[in-house]
Amino acid sequence: MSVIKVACVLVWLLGSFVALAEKSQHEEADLPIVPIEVGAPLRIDVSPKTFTFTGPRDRLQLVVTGYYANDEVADLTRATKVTIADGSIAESIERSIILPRKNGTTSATISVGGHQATIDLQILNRQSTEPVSFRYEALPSLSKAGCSGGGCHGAPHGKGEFRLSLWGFDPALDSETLIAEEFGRRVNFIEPEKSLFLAKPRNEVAHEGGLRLRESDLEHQTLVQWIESGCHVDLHQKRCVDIALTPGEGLTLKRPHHTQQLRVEATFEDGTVKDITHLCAYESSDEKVLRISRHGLAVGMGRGEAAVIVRYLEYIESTILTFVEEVPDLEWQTSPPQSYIDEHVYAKLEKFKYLPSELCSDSEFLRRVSLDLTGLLPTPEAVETFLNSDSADKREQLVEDLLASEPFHLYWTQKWGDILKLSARQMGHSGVVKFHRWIRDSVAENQPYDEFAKEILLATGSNLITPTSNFYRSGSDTSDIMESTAQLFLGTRIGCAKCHNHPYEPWTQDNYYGLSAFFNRIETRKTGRKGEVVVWMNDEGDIRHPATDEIVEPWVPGIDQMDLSADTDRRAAFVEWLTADTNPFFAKVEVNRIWSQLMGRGIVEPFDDLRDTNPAANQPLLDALTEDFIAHSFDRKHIIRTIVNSRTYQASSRTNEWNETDTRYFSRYYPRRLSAEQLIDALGDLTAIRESFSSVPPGVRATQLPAPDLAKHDRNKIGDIEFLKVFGMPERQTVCECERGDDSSLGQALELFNGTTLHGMLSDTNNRFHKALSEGRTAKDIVTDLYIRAFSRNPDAQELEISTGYLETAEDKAKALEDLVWAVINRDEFLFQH
Amino acid sequence: MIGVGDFKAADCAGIGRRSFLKTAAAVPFTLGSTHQVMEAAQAAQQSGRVKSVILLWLWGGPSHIDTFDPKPDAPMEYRGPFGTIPTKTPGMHFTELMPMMAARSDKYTMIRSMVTTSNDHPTAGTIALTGFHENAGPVQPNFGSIIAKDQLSTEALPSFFYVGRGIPRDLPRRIEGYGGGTLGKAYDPFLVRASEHGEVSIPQLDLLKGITPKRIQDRNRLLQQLDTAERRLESAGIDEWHRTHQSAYGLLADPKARQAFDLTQESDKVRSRYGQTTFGQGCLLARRLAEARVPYIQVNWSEYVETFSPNCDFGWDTHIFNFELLKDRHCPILDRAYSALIDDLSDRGMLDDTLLIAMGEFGRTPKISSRAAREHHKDCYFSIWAGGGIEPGRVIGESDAKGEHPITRPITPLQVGTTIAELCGIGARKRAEMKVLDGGSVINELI
Repeated sequence: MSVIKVACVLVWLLGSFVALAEKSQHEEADLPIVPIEVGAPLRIDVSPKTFTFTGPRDRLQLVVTGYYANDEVADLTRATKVTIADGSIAESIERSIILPRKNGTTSATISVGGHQATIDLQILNRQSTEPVSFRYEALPSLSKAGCSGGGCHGAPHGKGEFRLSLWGFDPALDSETLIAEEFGRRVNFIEPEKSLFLAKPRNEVAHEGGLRLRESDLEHQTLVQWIESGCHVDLHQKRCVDIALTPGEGLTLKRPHHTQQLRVEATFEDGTVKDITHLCAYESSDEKVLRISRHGLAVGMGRGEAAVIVRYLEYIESTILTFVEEVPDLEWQTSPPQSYIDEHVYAKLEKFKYLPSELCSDSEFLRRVSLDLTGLLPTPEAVETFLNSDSADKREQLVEDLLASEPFHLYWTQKWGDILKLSARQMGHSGVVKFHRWIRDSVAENQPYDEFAKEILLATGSNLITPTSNFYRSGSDTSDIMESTAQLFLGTRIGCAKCHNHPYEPWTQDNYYGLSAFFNRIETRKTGRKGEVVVWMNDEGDIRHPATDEIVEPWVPGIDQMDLSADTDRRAAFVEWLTADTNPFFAKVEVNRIWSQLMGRGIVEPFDDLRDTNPAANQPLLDALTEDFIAHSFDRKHIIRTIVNSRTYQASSRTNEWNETDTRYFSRYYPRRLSAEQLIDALGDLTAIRESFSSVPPGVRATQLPAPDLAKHDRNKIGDIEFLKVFGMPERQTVCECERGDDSSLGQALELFNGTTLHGMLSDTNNRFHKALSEGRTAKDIVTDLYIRAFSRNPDAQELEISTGYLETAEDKAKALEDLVWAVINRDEFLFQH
Repeated sequence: MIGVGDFKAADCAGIGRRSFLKTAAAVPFTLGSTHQVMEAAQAAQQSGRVKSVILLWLWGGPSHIDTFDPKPDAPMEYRGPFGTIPTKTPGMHFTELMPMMAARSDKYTMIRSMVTTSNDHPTAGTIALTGFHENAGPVQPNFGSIIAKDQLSTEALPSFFYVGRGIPRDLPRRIEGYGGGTLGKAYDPFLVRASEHGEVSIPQLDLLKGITPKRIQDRNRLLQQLDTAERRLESAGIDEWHRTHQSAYGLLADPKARQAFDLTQESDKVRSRYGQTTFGQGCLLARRLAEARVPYIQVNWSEYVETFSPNCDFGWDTHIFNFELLKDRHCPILDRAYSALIDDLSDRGMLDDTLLIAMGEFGRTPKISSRAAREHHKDCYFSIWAGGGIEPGRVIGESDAKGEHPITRPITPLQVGTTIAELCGIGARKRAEMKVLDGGSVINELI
């Protein structure tokens, strides 16, 4: 990968975070804040209990919490009166902030809601001439203003020929850039305010980034003071070792209470603690639920949960805030939970007052679960058997039958094919076919997921003999492979950390190269045999850290020292760590992926982007599924079965009065359009004119194809079939399943109105309906058959009347029947899984 | 919109330039740093003065030296055979091949300091139309797809049109950045072609044998009858599908929806002003689409870059017979069509809210090749901007004495896209939310 490519990829990756970063700087005046109703708290609590000011510019943000009956809590910080015992030593200002005045000790009394609390204050070093810390005050100020974000000067090549390290992770470089680069033109020692790097964000000198700082901002003042003190840079001062956020535990706030002041403390290596609330940058994981002001005031916007993300230099902390409110007239009632899944889902729904939809009908369930497990519509025989069965456990029994069927094996093999990027372009025709067969066998045998991962990651030898070694052909180099592995099995997009510490996760650049070291010795070479590539592990070859040029030892999270003797396959140690029951990522990513494949949306969404700053819609549910998966020795079928048997999966896709606005907590089954492959197969089954594909055996369905780019030498690739293309069959270029687009496009609608695939099927005189007509079957018969095949149900009276009427009054009955089938195909009920 | 005043300013490279600070229209990354700026940005987003963008895509790499950036004082092996003529813009000269445009230079602004990063047609094409290299992760959306995603077409028309023969390509491959990219195929362009006689054909709307507008109407009526409320599904995705279905229906079955494509409704006089060429008639079609408030129309000069090879259609890739082709074919066609279009837009009062841009993917080598022509030149080319609130009659940027490199701040395709988005009311915040044009900045000098 060229340097430019890497840089661009990073810009892209970071780009996806820019949105987050730039929403961070809300002014409180812009936020809809309801005044605090203090009421009658049972008690109050103040953080911190005592505080020592150790520097001349220190500040203290108090956080005052009220506890009420019914276990309710409220942030009372903004409604609190703060009185300092000795006003000459400290003063309190708005927002319950305390500033030091002179050295000494005093106390602050906090009064609110009829309660009082007192905290002791000690002020040291007030007269100290300690200069502004470049690293711990100036750089965070630039971060807070957004200057060093990935979309601005923190981009790999900076902006406007001014480059800062991302979020200030390289202070040495930044000091050089600010003070010395460009002949020192960025800093004006004589008139600090006129320094170019301040005048620009004040927008007094043209600045593409616009207005980022005002003179009244604390950040601005800090930067001016830094220049006044001679741009002092001490790269060896005591290090910050940790930051802590108050409230640290997630809180639930109930309207009218919907705001929470945050407080952040930094601990330095000598044990000093400073309040850095004013120096942190704040972000919200979901602006629809929560917005956060530049002063660290979180404001709930509606029902739901969101993470507050706090950044100070390379440190990131987050906490989850939950906002609930009373919904008048709602009487909470649900059918009894079928398993732990429903218990967790219902608990969450009750909290947010989204009443789950009722259970779906048998027809809906049959169609839904058949499409999800086999990719295909149920046959009329299956519909008849299922609908007519009186058995109490017929849904469970159906699930068992489907799980044991060959279409299930092949359809879920295709899902893995998407993720493992099976393509002839990368693996060659034989490689794809072999790897596909191996995955199919693994699914059919229900191979435990840990063994599945092991066999893929530890593949060695010829790709034609060991099919899984084709995995090592799916990327262009070992970094690519490592990044794919991390996304697949760890649910992390670690690519950012290639060039710098990950901006939203605890992954650092060291970690990136530590992980890469496991894969760095993999070698691949073509042999003389056509399509054959041999994969093996070299016993030497180390990866060097790009910043230090030192050899990086293999590393995994949570383990200090890896036991690696010189001649072992390094991957083995990685895989052992990966597949251990204690691995925090491995099982969780897979259950979340399965959930997302069945429910159309991950518990964590996107499903392979697990991080603290991207909270799950239902953490206890995710944890319970993970535990269950591990307890059942990574049995994937068990998880699929448990999910599809739950009432949550079997909920109707229709909304009720109380859950119309829920799009996240699974109060109903969210409808989704059939995939390109499902749709073309469904049309084939409906009309009995099946699409055939070159280079696979006859009878192979679209939902069972090994790869989209298989081709015979004289034919186009499968994926070039216009219908599959416009409906979004993925080309398998990235490990991300998001490649499978579900946007609707004009091309798709036109394809259904006027495309050769569907029109060919409808007008083919050998199709099911033309034949039925020529056999003289009645209109009612034909229409009923059509509905059973399309919707797994009988037509209702009105549908029957309209349809038979249309058919019987038509001059050209064959054409009228084509129209009728067309209309059925174009209904939501057909095009969508529901 | 808030005017903050004018300043004498210097940018990071230290080049003095007149700054703008019409905050609303010009400032990316204004995101909420202050209340005031946010308000301005919102105001801009609401008003978004540009309603339609027409991009004249001069595919193949037009020679800048032989057209809009002549170098009469350069050595013989650079300057070429064409004389120069003055334009209405003081100090700006064109070659003699562009007389009509020269007489209208008070209506547009010329940028002479464009640079790109690839000399390969499809790659440079992707960069020019998306702002990004095709290999840097997933292919980014075409500027038109970004606008299309943000602004639904008001009538039942697609939001993003390609006027021309096909997706622009060279012999081996097409431009990867032709359409929706990361935004999805939903935002791919809709292809429509006008012949030199003004006959319009739209491949996707050519009805298959056995399908008639009447039948489509019948089918859709039947669908509406069957689709009762109780069977209808609810989700954002389904609403979007219904909208899409309705547009497709309108295009296929509703004659009114197709009026925008009907060039016979224009007088012969108007049609001949544009020239009886595919590009000329394509420009006329673009004007009709802009009148129908289609948000983004890209008129492709040709499908292929190549000029002569079999199946090709006279792109600007003039590796041989550069001077002959420009003089006898390319320049007269462009000169006429552009002039007709800008006159027409101006006469109809459409220039305020229509943005008209003309550019290719790169320029051509200033030094004349051994084949007496010019090769690909990524380091310097031109773009022409009119309407949409752009102050006309100016030259922005300057190339060196031989036309090899800009001597002023180079302007990139990413800036082109960012400026288009900004003028269409897609401010920095919205761009960030859409995850597009990351890191792009507005061409401040234009505004």
